Amino acid sequence: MLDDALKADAPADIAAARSRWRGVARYVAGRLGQGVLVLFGAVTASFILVHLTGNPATVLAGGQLPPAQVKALSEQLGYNRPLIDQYLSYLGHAVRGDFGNSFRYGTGAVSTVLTALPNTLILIGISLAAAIAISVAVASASVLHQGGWSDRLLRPLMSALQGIPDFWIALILVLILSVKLRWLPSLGFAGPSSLIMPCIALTLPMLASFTRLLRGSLLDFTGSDIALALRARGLTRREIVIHHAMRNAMVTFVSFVALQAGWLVGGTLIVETIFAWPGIGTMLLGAVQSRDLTVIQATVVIIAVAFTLLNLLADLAVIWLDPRIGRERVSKEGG
Amino acid sequence: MNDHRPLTGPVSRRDLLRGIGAGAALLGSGGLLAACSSSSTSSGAANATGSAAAPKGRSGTLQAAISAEPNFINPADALELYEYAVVRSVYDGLTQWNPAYDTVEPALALSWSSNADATQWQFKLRPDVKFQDGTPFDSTAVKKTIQEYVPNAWGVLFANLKTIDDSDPNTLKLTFGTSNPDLARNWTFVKVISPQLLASKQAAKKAVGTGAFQWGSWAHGQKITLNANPNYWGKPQPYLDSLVLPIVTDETARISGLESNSLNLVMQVDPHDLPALKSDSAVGLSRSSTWLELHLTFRCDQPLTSDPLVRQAIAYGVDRAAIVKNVLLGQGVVAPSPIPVGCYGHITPTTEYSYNPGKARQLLKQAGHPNGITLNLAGASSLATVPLMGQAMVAQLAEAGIKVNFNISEAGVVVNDLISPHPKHQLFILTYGWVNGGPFHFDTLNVINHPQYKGAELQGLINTCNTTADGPKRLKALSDAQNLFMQQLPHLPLYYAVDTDAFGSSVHGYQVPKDTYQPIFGRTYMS
Repeated sequence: MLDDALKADAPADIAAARSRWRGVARYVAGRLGQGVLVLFGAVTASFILVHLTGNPATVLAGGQLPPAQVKALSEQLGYNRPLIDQYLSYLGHAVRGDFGNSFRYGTGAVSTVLTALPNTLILIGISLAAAIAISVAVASASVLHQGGWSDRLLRPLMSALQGIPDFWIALILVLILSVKLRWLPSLGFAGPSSLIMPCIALTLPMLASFTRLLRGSLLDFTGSDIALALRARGLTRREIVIHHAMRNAMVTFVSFVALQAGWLVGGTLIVETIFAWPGIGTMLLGAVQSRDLTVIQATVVIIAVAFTLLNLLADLAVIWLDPRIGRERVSKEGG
Repeated sequence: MNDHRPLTGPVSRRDLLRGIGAGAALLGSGGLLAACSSSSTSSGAANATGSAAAPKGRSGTLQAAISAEPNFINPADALELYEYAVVRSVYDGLTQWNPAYDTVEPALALSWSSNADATQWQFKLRPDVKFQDGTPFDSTAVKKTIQEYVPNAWGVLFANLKTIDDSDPNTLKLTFGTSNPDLARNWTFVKVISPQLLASKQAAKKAVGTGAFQWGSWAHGQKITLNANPNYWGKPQPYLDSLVLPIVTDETARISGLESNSLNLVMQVDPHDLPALKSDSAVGLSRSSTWLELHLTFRCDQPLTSDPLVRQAIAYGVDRAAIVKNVLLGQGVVAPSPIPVGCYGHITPTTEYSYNPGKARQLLKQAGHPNGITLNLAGASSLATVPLMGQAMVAQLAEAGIKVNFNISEAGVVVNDLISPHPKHQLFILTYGWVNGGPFHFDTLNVINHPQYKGAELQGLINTCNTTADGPKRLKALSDAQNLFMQQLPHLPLYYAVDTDAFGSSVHGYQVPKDTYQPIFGRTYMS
């Protein structure tokens, strides 16, 4: 009978699963559509910013060319056309990933940015991974030993770390590990040892905010009725924290990490400058200083793409972590 | 033949910018340093200036940081120190400066001569020299280089060129419509480019010359690598296997890199970083006064500053010694004359302006302004010390009854205002790099045209300087011109820059370039 009952329920389960996956697919498509809108906004913003101070040819000339030559430059670059024509042309090229050539290097603006991007992604990837791993461990330890000496030590430490800017950490690391001890190189990308200091400088401020957020979420769960019920069922505090609270906390945590990661793509400029790291921050600084407008525009859009993709990945991760949220979102957004 | 026409016509914006921008960018890249003397010195690590014997073979790789990524590596366009670090290493001129920078000596030319009025020049070229791509070096190659220069940034160095005779591959003959008495000096700055590179139109992306180093690679945003030229005509140089120029935009990062041995050489160290480096026994310093002159230009066609008495009042109202001491931390030399020490024809004029606000007020009263005046001062943001300098001047001139509104703008905007028929400012803080070790900005008439100065006597004297070959007559004209210049004051010379370069203890044979622009790594070696 039980088998028959199970067999009778199987088609309904499959139908439900199919329905859910259709809903997820529609949800993802909706998110991609929103992402396209975000990118459209970024492309438009990059166009507006370049034209905000007037004819970009004037900016390029930097006050160094007579009006006749500025006019000639403007005609050469197409900046003398009506603004709407320029915008539509720009949009059309942007869709194809063409932002023109770098005024400085003569190579494609997008390829110039993409050459530097992997170096920044390496820094971000390692820093994020370290920050996540350490914050999970520290937050768990803090909650498990709440009120203990380790918790009392870690909390003010995290508060202090959150207030220390990454560039200060970078300078101190260089002073101690490079200048005084000569253990690590202070500049450039010369091998794995070059990664250590910039990654530490990026990791520590993130670590503080990750830990505090995660700790708060874990404590919220462990103080809830659900945790009480789990304790009543005989689970230990450790089991509750590791197997239940953590999964619940991950929903908020993943969204926050995605936001941080997106910020980091364009936010490593100071650290990259201190370490002469050949990443997107250094490249953007050089482009601004030399008025390489096409590279600046390409960088803005590529950062927006990265931000959008990271947020989409975070949303998908959240759906996987908590199917209830996925179903709610699916049903709300036409699943 | 006597030709008293000016050497050049009206100065174009390009000419102006080349003269100003060359110095301005150097300041922006590393700051100005001060010294108490105008001589070259080195301290710290021993053997820094080559007193130790150079090695017999190659001695490794030198990592010399540059402060920004070059925009131009074509010598005809290059402006900045970080561009010349490449240019000077890969290319040579027909002439070069000796290590003391007091004599022009042979490089790609073995000898040269001119006629009495310096309108015709002949250069005997060094035989059996090849460019790094195998192209032979000859008079035709030099002709092609000159043709590349003339329409570009540094074409002013060949102003009024009429003919180039390259019929003899080992002899180059140039004829000018007017005197070019500084041509031999100009060739210390002009570099001969491979004609094959010029034909390929790749001179903006790579460098091919006859220099001690040849092109290696350019990792954009990271570094430029040059390798020893095994066929260099100046054997046994170079003493390095390779020269790597990491692009390190942050001054602190460059200093840290030097102290941590990630770098071997940092050029134009900021004066604020010097005390720490001086106390580091593993770091050597090479210091020299240079041919870079900072000055206060007056728009002599504007109300108030058109009056020489007002200009002299301003000169008495600026305490240049205090600026050198407090803004440059003692690293600069108060400039008595527009032409820097060590440049051909420099003298110390009889008129000098020590800080005297009382005298300034007196002159203003004499000029009909007993209640003082108000002026606008512009400075370029690319010059690291300009903000402090401008503020110092504002405070100093206030004591003299001169109220100054000080504005900082981008260099291009300042230049635009300087040459505008209706400028917003009457005073401008600017730099001149006297790039050829001679009266370069007399040659170009920048000293007259920038301030819109119309005084006939000074113009006549400068014209004589520009149309007279080197010798006693020219030196007399230069002396008279400088004396009158300091009375008339189209601009007030503030100071000559002093550069300090820092290097690790393993670096030898390196010396700060007195011309400010051209670091020479061919003589450098590592231990």
